Amino acid sequence: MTLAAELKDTGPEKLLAPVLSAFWDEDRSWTLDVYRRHEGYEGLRKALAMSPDDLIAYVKESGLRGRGGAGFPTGMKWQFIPQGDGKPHYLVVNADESEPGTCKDIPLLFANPHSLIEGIVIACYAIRSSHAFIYLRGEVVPVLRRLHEAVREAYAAGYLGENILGSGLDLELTVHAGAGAYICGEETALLDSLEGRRGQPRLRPPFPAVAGLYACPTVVNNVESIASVPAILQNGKEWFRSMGSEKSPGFTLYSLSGHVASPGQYEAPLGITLRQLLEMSGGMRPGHRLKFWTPGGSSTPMFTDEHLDVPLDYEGVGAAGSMLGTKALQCFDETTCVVRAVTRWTEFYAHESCGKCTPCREGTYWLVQLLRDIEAGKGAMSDLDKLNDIADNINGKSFCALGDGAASPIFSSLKHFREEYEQHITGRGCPFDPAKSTAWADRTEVNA
Amino acid sequence: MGGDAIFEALQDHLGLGNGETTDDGKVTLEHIECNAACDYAPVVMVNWEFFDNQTVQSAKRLVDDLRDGRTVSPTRGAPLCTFKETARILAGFPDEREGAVDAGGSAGPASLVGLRLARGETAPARVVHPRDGGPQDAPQDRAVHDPSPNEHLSSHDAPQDTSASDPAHPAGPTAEEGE
Ligand SMILES: Cc1cc2nc3c(=O)[nH]c(=O)nc-3n(C[C@H](O)[C@H](O)[C@H](O)COP(=O)(O)O)c2cc1C
Ligand code: SF4
Ligand code: FES
Repeated sequence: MTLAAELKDTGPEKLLAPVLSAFWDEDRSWTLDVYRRHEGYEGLRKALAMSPDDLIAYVKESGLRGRGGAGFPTGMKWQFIPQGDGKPHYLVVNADESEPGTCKDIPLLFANPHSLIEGIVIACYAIRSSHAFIYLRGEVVPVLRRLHEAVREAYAAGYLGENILGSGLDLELTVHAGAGAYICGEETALLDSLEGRRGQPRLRPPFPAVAGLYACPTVVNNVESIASVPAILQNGKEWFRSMGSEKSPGFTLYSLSGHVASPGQYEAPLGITLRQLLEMSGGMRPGHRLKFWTPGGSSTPMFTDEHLDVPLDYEGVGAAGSMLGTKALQCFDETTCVVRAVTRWTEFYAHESCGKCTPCREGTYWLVQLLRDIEAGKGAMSDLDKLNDIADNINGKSFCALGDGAASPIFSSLKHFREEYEQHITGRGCPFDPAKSTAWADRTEVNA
Repeated sequence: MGGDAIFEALQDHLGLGNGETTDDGKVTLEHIECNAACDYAPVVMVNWEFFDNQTVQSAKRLVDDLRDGRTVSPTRGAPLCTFKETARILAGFPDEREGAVDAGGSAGPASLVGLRLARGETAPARVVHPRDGGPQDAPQDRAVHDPSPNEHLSSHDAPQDTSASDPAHPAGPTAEEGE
């Protein structure tokens, strides 16, 4: 086979599948005009021609799974909304994106906010909701601006408001900017925050599907989950199922970051591997090799270069001992100190811990103290077991999944890189030069 | 990637600690983490606008320009407004400035790398072979993985056995708990 032919089979044209990102490079891609030119709001017309129950069944059969981290089937989540209960129903879109490593929803909303709005209208028709919310993290004003404008455009064009496209569906959409707390991405804390309270997780049950926003049945979905729905309706569930695997069908955004040659968004069928992504995109930065990476953000147990061929779908990553999470592929090369990286993540968790439960509030605090000591060469060997112990006391024993997420880099780094921790203790400090892992380490910096 | 170095350099340069403001009131330095922009790392934000792919030098220049009242332009997003105006936008009032929504183009360069590759617009497989082996030279053995102890059910937060996610107990019109 010639090289060119080989590339056709295994090259990026074959391996990638831009759907949501298909026209991000067009001028004013975020406007209604451009979205309409790309079959925008056509999926909605198809949806409105179905009955809401058929629509839910259709989304369920497509196999779409939540893209917010847990991979829960989206159609099933919609189905849990009780019908005929006389209460208002709500759809809340989780755009709080703040899991370290995760950076897909923000570019999606910046370049193509109408895909989300169309998805929202479809979802609300299905779950019989007449009021939806987008909960956007507050630190991304450029995205907020475009959301405001896109929602205004959608109202003006009759995709929101009363009697949408003559279907009798009324829908109000509110964009809410949060104050920037990781915990507000946890769905029940998000609801508390949206209600105007301090964002702390709620005890479940009752689940949001029963008693969510203002104690009414509520669906909370990730941005990408909802934004994927219009394409499924427009192109059909068979088309969607033709990508990915039986249990993880469809396309998704992978976010490559860290010490790679080309960080950025790669939309591909589920099940692509990191090796394939790296090979097409130029690999790690020149002259360096992969040391460890996260398959789905810092809360998912880290992988090493042994795991380059793990299919990046829910089952594949799960079988290899981690989680697909948000598909945030943060890659670190050999210049990176694992202890330092884990310390930074843990500082993040300690800072973002809401304080509601003791294992997480106290545990993350003490993890940071121990890690800082180890990083500074003041640790003892017994600290390593202590780290494991504390993480074990957080994992599964805390009130929400933030705690479990905080434990996961501790466990996985100790599992794969215990030796490196030991070097910090026996060598009285960090053997790495942090300057070497900066983005500019290999550049000759011009002093302007 | 260099965030630590930039933060330290700015503390030094401005003579400030985390959360402190310069005497002229122009710059408040605050440590942030994770702003959903890993693919543009390291990132500095001014009034919640993105300044992507920073270095120590560029960040120092940025604060100097801010203190001297020179115009600085974010890499994605609109020209800077005052923080008061930013707060208004956050409170839900659209930015009425001419061209503000358009500013910054459709998507930043990193957001487009996958798309360009998929279209064949950039040459693929430009892997620069690392001197000392790299991902493509990495060991191929895919030993069967023993399930890690941390693959704990509750490290997911949705699909646990719950009334809402348990198909056997779908949430009916009346809640099981607390009506
Ligand atoms: C600490 C924490 C932070 C989270 N942050 C987010 C987030 O920023 N965005 C998101 O979509 N889901 C986040 N989640 C997951 C949500 O709780 C929820 O599972 C998700 O929004 C469901 O959407 P999906 O079914 O469409 O994936 C977070 C969970 C936890 C525990
Ligand atoms: S695990 Fe942490 S973030 Fe979650 S409720 Fe407990 S203290 Fe709050
Ligand atoms: S921006 Fe989130 S960790 Fe990089």
